[in-house]
Amino acid sequence: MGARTSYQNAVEDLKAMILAADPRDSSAVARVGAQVEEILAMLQPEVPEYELLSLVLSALRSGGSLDSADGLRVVTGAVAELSQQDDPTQQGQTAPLDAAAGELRKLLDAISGQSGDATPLITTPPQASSEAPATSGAQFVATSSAAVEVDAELLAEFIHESFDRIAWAEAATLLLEKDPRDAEAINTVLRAFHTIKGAAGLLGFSAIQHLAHHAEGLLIRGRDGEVTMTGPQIELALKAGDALKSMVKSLENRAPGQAPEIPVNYHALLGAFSEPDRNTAAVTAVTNNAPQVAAFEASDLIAEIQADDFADASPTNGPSCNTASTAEASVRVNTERLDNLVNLVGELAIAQAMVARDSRAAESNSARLERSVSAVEKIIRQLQDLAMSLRMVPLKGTFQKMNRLVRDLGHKSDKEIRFEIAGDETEIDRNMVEALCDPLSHMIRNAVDHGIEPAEMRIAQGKSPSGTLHLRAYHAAGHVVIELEDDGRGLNRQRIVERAILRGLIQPDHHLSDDEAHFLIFHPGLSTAENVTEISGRGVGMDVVKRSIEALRGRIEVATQSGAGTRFTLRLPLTTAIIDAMSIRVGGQQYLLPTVVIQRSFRPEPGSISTVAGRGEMVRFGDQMLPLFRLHRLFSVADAQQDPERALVVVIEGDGRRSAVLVDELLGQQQAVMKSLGDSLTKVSGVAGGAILSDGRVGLILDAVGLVQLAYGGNLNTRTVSAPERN
Amino acid sequence: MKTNGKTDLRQQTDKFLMFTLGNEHYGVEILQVLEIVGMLEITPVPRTPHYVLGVANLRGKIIPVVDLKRKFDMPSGEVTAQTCIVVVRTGRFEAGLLVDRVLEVAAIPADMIEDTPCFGNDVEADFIQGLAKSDQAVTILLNLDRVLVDQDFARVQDAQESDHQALHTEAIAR
Repeated sequence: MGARTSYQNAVEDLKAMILAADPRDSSAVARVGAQVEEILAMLQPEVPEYELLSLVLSALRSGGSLDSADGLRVVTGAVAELSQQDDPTQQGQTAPLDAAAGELRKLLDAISGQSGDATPLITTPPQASSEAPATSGAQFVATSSAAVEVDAELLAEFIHESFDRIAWAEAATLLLEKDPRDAEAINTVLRAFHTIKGAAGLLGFSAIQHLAHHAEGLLIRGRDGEVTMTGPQIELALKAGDALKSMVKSLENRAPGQAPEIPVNYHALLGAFSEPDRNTAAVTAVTNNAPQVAAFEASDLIAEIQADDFADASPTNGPSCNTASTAEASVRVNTERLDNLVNLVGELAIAQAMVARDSRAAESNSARLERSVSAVEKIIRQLQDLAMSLRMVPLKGTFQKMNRLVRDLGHKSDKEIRFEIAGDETEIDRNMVEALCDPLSHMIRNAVDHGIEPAEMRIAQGKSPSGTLHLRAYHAAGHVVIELEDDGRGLNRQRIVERAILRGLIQPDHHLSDDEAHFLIFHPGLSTAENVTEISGRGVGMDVVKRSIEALRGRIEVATQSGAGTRFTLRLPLTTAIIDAMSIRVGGQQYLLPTVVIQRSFRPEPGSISTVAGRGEMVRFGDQMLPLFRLHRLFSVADAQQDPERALVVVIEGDGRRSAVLVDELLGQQQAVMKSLGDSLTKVSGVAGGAILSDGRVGLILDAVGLVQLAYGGNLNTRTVSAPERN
Repeated sequence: MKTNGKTDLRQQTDKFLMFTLGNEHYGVEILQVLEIVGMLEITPVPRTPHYVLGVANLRGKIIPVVDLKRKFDMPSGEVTAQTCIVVVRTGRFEAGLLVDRVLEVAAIPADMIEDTPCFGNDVEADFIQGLAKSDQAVTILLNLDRVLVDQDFARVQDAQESDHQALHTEAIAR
């Protein structure tokens, strides 16, 4: 043996430092940690030494490793073993260190088992994010025992940013799965993990930093052609993303400075990363956990405005992840400020209208004044459009989550599924994007589970063995339309009807059109799947989907062909903030009724209105009798039309039920920005909110579901035409 | 953080916004007052307590407006040029208080404030924080948190709803 290399010197130093360190002195422990980091920086992540030292570092950081005799033995044992090895920076191949690594893992488990999330003895102080080479972990600087004070704002920023990056990484990983040589995709994933690693290090989240580091290591090997990014590697990268996501998510509800919750498969993942080529058993162990999909919600308060829309990239290009340009091109704005902006622009429009309508302005006959006024009007209209558009985000993020879901569901149910996305650049209100995630996931689960047949059955029917699922979005007539189409077996009309009769939803002799029969799947409690499966569960489902879509003031439709497939169509307003409403008059009062709930309006013929038991009124609508209630009585409006034959009946539907409302007059359609009436008036039955009318007054927006409930007198369980008790 | 600052300040302050309802003088703590605006157009909201006049547009934001005289069962007067809406914030929500006339902002030291005397069962007194006597008048200092209890609107509304239903049934029966 010749002179020792710098690596070997460093290991010897480390050994000495561990033996000399007083376990109660956190700065001494921190110095040990710094030394470990320094050695790590010399190593390639694939050598066994790297893995072992990472475990040593985890042990040091989890606290309590050096102050027990057992812990000290394991750590010093591991380092002693290192010093026996050849220098991995010089030698191509070194002996594996499985025994020592195993001991360390046991130690880590014991520590985390006894103290939950132990306060790490070593924390990392804030410092500039390192753009050092990817493998470097040398940001580890010893500090005093005081935990790093993590600024709450910084933390929120970190959480938000990490979610974004993980989402990008996930999207790019899925691309990589299709084409393992996609260098752009590899780099995207790599950069995402790298950035998360840096930021986590900055904030002292060593567990996140550590996992991100390993994930990055894998991608670097993928980039350099040392491993091929297929099957297990992709799975591992995705799982790492999930684990990072769950750790970041756990930070949301914790006080700044607290460590993230460590997922159960964390150590298994780290283990799998150490040898992704051979260790396929570990990968399957890690990935056997139930798929966790669509679980993250961005912080409600932060709306992201994308000036330079990163969704411009087509799905095949992969999301752009150029940190510098994205940072410059977009800003995050608190939604409250955004709402204020919308409010003020609305007020500006009203003030402008007042000026324009001022009689003196009209009398002046000044062409110049007229021109100026109309110029201001034009600018204000543009401002209004702009202010509203700030709330809009592309559907891309949501669709991306579905991409992952389809992939996981396909693996799980052993069906091969091609997932085609179109129109994911379509923009929709930020609030709706989040509310859409659950219903869409549900529909996709159903499609994979019940819609698309197993491969053998498909082949037997002459279809291609792999199923296809299309998810499309586009704008049409002021709405966003989302279609989910599968080429599976289609709805089974006969079984649906049988089930509905069995459940007493319809009478056996009731004749239904195909559409009506298919629409029964949205009825609560109807499930036709013969097997309750793990994926789509039991009879709750499409009724929940329908309700959540209706809560967004949208509609759902279904079209199906037996043996050929099913298509669900969601028609949603662009935003929940703006609604299309019919202005109605009742006496001296004016209300807004969302057009989406209006089925029809008509002037009642003489004799079409009858009372039941001398109390409740009913009106004939087609072959149905609908409960009729007079809005003026319900709302105590004095000067309204008393004679129904001179008034109008409006048939509304809410919560799947119809009722008829008597109003004086329909004044016309308009768009209204929906606003809350304030926290003290949130539960006014029959009123959903308010809108500022063009004359500056507040108009009340009626709530169809509440009205229907009032019409049925609070008796929610009957759908029959028997007399409602009170109305 | 903001609320902390507010509480600290509140303990130090002794300033009240004084206004009149009929012939009586009232005061509310100045820190609960957001602004004073003239009369606004008010849209009635159905199925709410009688003292909730409705909602109004305050620069694009919708706020409920409460008629304190109705709330206190005083005869309601006419809207004059001096009628104002005092926009206050208490607890979680904002509301406008309809008052006859805004007088001034006055400092009332804590030792000048007397406890509420017992008025017997006829007068609801729990919304009175205390009484401040000066040479000319007695000022009733309001405890806004009690005047505008969060659930107040909803609760009274329920009571009204049953009234209303009864009336409605009656009307139909006729």
